[in-house]
Amino acid sequence: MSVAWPFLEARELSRSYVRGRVRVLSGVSFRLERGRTLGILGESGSGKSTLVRLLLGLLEPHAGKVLYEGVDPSELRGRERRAWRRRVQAVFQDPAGSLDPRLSVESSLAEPLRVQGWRDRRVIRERVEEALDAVELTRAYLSRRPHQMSGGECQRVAIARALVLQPELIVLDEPVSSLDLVVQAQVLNLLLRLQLDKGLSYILVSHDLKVIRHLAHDVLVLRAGQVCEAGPCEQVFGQPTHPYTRLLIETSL
Amino acid sequence: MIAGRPLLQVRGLRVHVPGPDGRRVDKVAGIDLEVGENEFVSIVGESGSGKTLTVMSLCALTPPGVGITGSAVLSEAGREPTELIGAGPEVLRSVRGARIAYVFQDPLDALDPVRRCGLQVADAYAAHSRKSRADAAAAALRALKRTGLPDPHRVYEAYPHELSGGMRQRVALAAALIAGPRLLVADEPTTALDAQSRSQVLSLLDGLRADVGGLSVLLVTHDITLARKHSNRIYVLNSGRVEEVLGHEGGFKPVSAYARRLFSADPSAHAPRTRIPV
Repeated sequence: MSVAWPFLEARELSRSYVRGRVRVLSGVSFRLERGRTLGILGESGSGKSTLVRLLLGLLEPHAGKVLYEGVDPSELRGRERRAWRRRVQAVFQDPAGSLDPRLSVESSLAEPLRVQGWRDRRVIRERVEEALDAVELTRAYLSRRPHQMSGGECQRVAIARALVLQPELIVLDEPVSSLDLVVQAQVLNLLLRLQLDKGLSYILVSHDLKVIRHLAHDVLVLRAGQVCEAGPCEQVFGQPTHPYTRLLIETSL
Repeated sequence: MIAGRPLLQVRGLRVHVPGPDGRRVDKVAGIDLEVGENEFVSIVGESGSGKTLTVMSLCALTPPGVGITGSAVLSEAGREPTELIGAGPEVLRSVRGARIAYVFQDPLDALDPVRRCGLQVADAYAAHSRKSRADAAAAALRALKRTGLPDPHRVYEAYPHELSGGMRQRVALAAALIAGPRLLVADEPTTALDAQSRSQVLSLLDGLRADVGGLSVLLVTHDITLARKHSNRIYVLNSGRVEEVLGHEGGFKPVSAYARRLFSADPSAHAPRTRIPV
C-alpha cells in the first residue's frame, strides 16, 4: 500500500498572512523520493521560509497538503506525531542561533533523544558519539559550548543534532550561506557523504544557485510564492526556459 | 604588471589593532597593491584575511584605535601625487568622496533613513564644490538619471525605506560618483542584492566606467566568479598578506596552495554531487 506513495509530496500549497491579504505561497507542488535532494531556489521574499515551515509542520497551509508517504502530519497526534517528528529534522542558516549558548555540545545532542523519551544514559552517550563521528568532530567537542567553536564547527554540531534521531529527511534551510567559502565546501562535502552513507533525503533551501546545483538532484525555482520552473538540475540549469531562471544563472555563474 | 599609468600605489601597508594583552596585532601585515588608471582590480580572501581593513585604511575610515603604517600614494593625471597614509584631516577631506569614493554592502547603512535620497546625493556634491543648492540639486538629479533609475524624480523625493535594495544601492552609487572620483572602492556591493539588482548594478558599473572615462574600481569580494568576470587583476589575501596576484592574461590560474584551495572551494568549479577538494 505505502509503496505507491512518494516519500514526500506537496500538493498545491498556499499560505497567506495578514488575514489573507498577503499571499506568500500559491499552489506549490512537488514530490521527493527517498535518498534524493530537492533544491528550492529563491531570493528573499520568494516564500522559501514559509515553505520550510509548512514542510516541518510549524505552520498550517491555508490550502493544499503536505503528505509524508501519504500521511498528512497535521492529522497525527500524540505518539504518532512524535514518531513523525523523529523522521523529519532541520538545519538552519545561523548555527550559533540554533544552538543553545548555555548547553555543551553533549547536552545539545542529547536533548532531542530525551525529548523522544530516551532515558538510558549509556545508550544516549553512544548515539551522541555516533552523531559526532558522522560530522567528523572529535570527542573533545563534547564539552564545548557554541561560543568556543567557529561557525563551521557550530554548523557541524547542528547537523549532528539533526542526525542523532536517525531521521529520513533533513530540511536544510540555507545551511552554508553564513559560512566562508572554504568552510562551505567542507560542509557541502559532509552533506553529500552523509546522504550516501545513510540514504537521507534532503530539502535544500537556498538563494545560492551554485550550492543547489552542486547538491541537488532536482530543483524548484520559487519566485513571488509560485513555482516558475522545476525539474532535474541538469535540465533546469542547462536549458532554462523561464527568463527569471536565465537571469539567475547569468548573474551567478 | 599594470597596463596604464598607476593611479594608486600601496607599499608595505600595515594595519594593527590593540590585542587583548595590550600588544599590537597586525591584521594587515605588509601589503603591496596597485591600481592603474581605468583598471578593475579585485581583492579576494577568506573572512578575516584583511580585505576590508586594507581598503578602509586608504582613507583612514578604520575605527578608532586602529593603527595604519606604510604608504599609499594616489597619483592622478595633472595633479601632485598624494600620500594618504598619515595624511591630515584637510588632505583626507579633499580625497574622500572627491577622489576616492566608496560603496558598501548594505546601502541602508550608507544612507540616512530620515533624509530624502536626492538631498543625500546633493550633499555629496555640495561637500566638494562651491555651487549653489539649486546646482547641487540639478547635479543630483543628473547623477540619479545616469544610474538608470526608472523614475529619478520620484527617487529624488523618496526616503531610503521606500526603495528596493537594488534602487538604494544605485542611489549610493550616484552619491559616490557625483563628485567625479578617479577610484571607486566597492566592498561587497552586490552581496545583499537579489539577482535582478545584482545584474543591474554590475552592468551599471561597467557602463559608468565606459561613460565617465578614467574610473578605476577596487572591488572587495568573496565571490570569485564575480571577480574573475570583471577584473584585470585579482589580489588573493591570506592573513593580512598578499598570497598571490592573478592576472587576466594568465586566465586567473592560482599557483599557491592557499589560492588554489580558495578558488577550488567554489562549487561551480566542480562536477555536481562530487567531493570538492579543500
